Amino acid sequence: MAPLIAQMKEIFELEQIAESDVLRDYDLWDSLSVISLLAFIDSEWGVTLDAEDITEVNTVGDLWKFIETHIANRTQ
Amino acid sequence: MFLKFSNCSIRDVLLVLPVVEHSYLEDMGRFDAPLSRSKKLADVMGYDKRRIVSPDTCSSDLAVFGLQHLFDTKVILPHEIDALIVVTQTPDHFIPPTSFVIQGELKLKRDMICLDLVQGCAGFILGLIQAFMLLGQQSIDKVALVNVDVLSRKVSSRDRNSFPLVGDAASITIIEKGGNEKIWASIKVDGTGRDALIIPAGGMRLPSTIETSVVHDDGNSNHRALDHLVMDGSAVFNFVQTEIPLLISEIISQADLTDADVDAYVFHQPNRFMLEKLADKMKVPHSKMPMNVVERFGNNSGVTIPTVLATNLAESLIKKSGQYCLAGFGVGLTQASLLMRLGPLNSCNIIEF
Repeated sequence: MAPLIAQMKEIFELEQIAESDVLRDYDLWDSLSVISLLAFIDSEWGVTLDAEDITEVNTVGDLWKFIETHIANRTQ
Repeated sequence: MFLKFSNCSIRDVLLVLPVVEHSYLEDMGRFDAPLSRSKKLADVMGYDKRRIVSPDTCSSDLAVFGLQHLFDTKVILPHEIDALIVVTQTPDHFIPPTSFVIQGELKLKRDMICLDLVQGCAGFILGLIQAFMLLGQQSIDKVALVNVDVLSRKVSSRDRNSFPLVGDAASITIIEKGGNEKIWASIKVDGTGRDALIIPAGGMRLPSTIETSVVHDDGNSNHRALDHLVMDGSAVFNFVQTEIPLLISEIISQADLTDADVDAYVFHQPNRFMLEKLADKMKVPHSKMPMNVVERFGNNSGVTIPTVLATNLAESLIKKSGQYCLAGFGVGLTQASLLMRLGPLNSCNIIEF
């Protein structure tokens, strides 16, 4: 999860990102952050999420679980 | 699906750009977004300037202007056009087809083929494929392919997602018999993705009414009516990242070539960000994939590929021959690719309308 946290600090311009943070509550949560996040997740883990997937995810921790599940599904 | 062609070559390319230029930051001034955020978006996505037509300019106006210029400069004579293909999503009318409007305006000959194709992002490729097929006929020596859209007229000025990046343009490509190089094409379609890029109302499924012209918030502060274009950026992004690398690697291997043999990847331009990510995924150096059309002219739909030819590659194309991989992807969902040699072209110019 560390690479995700690091990248999210950059995208949302925050010093701290916690697992329990609600994504939609970030000040800089907009279409730019969403697409930057999706692009990062794709290049880092080869997992393609779309904006719909993102709406089903609530916290940073949920997002990480989502990514992990996709990685696991892919390697099967 | 793989297609193969031979004995066809592109002789001329003309790009017709509307003279009116908008700036992204000025456009964004109409929305609530803070300036610093808009600047960042412009920086990351690659938005700056775009060209749009006046509200009463139609596709045939741009096409007639361009063809007349080719006649005036003797690039081609009217009677030499054996087939006119017009690829557009913004026809002058439902009926008759816009190719007929153009044929009538320019008094082209009667003994010819006029054909409209409804295609967008992959429209240059689909148009070329159609031209190549027509050139297989003995009676067809020269085809004029027009790619044109005035899509800015179908975008809501309050749609922050789409308004600041859509551009208008037309291109005219003259294709003729000749050349002994092989041309490979590949097409794949996925109609289950039809909602990714759609104008919901105005056709027969949902005719235009007072209701369909009413602007609503889509939940993300983008305001548009059912009569307006709606684009799902992240669906297109995912589609492109997932499908295009495979489309390209397949066509290159079909032709028994490698990436090293390709001089440039001339791709449809949704925006620079998407092309940067695609190039990285394909392990193609950015220098081999021109990606700055949207920041200069806007996303002009089926004309982005000819825009690359007439701007980024004009000098090379006039001077010498090269191996090019073209690809269009988007509305439909369509993905189409062409691997062919291009150049030296007889002419490759830009005019303003």
